[in-house]
Amino acid sequence: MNAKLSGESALVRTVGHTKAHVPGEVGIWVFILGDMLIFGAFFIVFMYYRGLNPELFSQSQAMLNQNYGAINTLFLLASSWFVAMAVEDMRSKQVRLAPVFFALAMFCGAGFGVVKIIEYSEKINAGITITTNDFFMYYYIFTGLHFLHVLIGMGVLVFLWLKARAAAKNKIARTDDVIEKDMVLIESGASYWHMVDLLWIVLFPLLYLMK
Amino acid sequence: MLTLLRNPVTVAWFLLMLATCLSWWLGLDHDLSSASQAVVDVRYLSTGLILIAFIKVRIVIRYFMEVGKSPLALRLICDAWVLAVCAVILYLYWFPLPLVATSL
Amino acid sequence: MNTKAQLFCAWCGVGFLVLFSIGWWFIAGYIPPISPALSASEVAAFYQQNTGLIRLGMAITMFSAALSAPWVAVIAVQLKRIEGEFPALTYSLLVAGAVGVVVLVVPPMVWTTAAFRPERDAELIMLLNDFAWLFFVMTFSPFFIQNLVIGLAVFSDKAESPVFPRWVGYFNIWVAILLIPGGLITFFKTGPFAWDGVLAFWLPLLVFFGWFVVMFPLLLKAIKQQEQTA
Repeated sequence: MNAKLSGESALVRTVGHTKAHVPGEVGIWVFILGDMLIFGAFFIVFMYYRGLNPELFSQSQAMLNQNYGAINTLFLLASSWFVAMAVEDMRSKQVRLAPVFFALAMFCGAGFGVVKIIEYSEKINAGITITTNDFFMYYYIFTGLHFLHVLIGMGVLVFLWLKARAAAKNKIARTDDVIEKDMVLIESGASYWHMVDLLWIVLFPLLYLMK
Repeated sequence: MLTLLRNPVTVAWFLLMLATCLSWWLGLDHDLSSASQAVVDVRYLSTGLILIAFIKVRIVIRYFMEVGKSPLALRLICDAWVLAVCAVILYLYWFPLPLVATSL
Repeated sequence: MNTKAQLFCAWCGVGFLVLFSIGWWFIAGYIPPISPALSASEVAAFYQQNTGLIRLGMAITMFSAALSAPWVAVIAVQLKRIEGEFPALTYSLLVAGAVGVVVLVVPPMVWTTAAFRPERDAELIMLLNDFAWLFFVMTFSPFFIQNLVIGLAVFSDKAESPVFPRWVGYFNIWVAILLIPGGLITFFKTGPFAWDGVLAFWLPLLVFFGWFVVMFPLLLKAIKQQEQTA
């Protein structure tokens, strides 16, 4: 595939990763795996309590709007894809589309936030709060902590976008050293954002769908 | 632009979007009771939804997070997480535990 | 350069962990926690049956809590090496750490107040018990800031041989986020987010202890490195 692409400057992958390579810096994986461990514990605690009172959980779940959950999944998936494309572009000597991709990723992240706020305000206006019952306790705490991750991620995306814009403005072909140094930051931030996506992928069926 | 579409990451994304739409549709309130023949047990439906979710998670880990190209140790840790969390969720769904402690 | 004072401070962290565990856990018996779902008479019974042990345990716990002050101070000294002349994050750590000592000292005093006159009205004993537990588990904010600024300072280290490896920064921020669920205990009497719950109490407690265990050898290493370069 690389040979085929070599004529096109935009997306030529000059830094081919043939060797095994940890995405980003090793330290970010301490955070990512640590967070996945904690959310794993959240999911398991949720299932344990669901098993104690399945009727309550089903009835409460019926009060959620599945469309919000689904649209937000699509938002985060699209956002993740844009980020992955931006990362690929950042590996080339001349960065072109990465800033656009990061901007689109932020747009999708913001879309997630807007839908989430609409959803929360609908629930609160209907008198459903964290103390309504066990199901809504989990709903608010899990989605709330996830939303905190989204907000942190938006900050990370702004940072990556600035990096990408600086790289795109630079008209001289970047050296491998510069690319490698940039990629450590870019891949770390991107991996974090993908983790935010994958946690939501599990929360979606757990809270909104399963009967 | 064409090269973007041929990228494995894009193929992965396309599958993820499809899987999400499938879950969305499966999760809608189909009137199962009225369909007199072959009533689907909702438990199989929920199991399917969980399995789809964890397949999606693995695709995200492998292709988006690029763990597929990473050292064996990281790949194993990630797969262990996916397998363990998915298995425990399904186990607790099919075989709920009694109340062991209020503090849990 | 003499690093004896720093080593002493680092060992104070170990002393804190050991003495706190002895007083609070083994003598007074606050692990597992008294459930917030218990009635006033059940709570009062705990204080009536364990009066002497609680008094002794709380005296030890109260003393041990202050040992976290030198521990935070020595971390601050190492952060100062990173930050140099205008150590804003270091000062934040010191202020947060000082408040942290208060958060660790006050609850034992309230618990021991409950054990001071165990014959008093059960409702009043429950009030003191509630106050101590809420103060102890819910007050995550100083520790949150403490771990956050350590993380930020580690990230800002651009030296060729940094004071702490960069993963320590991520680790500290992860710990900071993990302490947040403690802030939810005011809403619940049972379940994982109650003050005896798995996600609001056990997990943060485990992580808080783990944080000392991880930071201690790293601190010793950083002090040694400072000794060699100076």
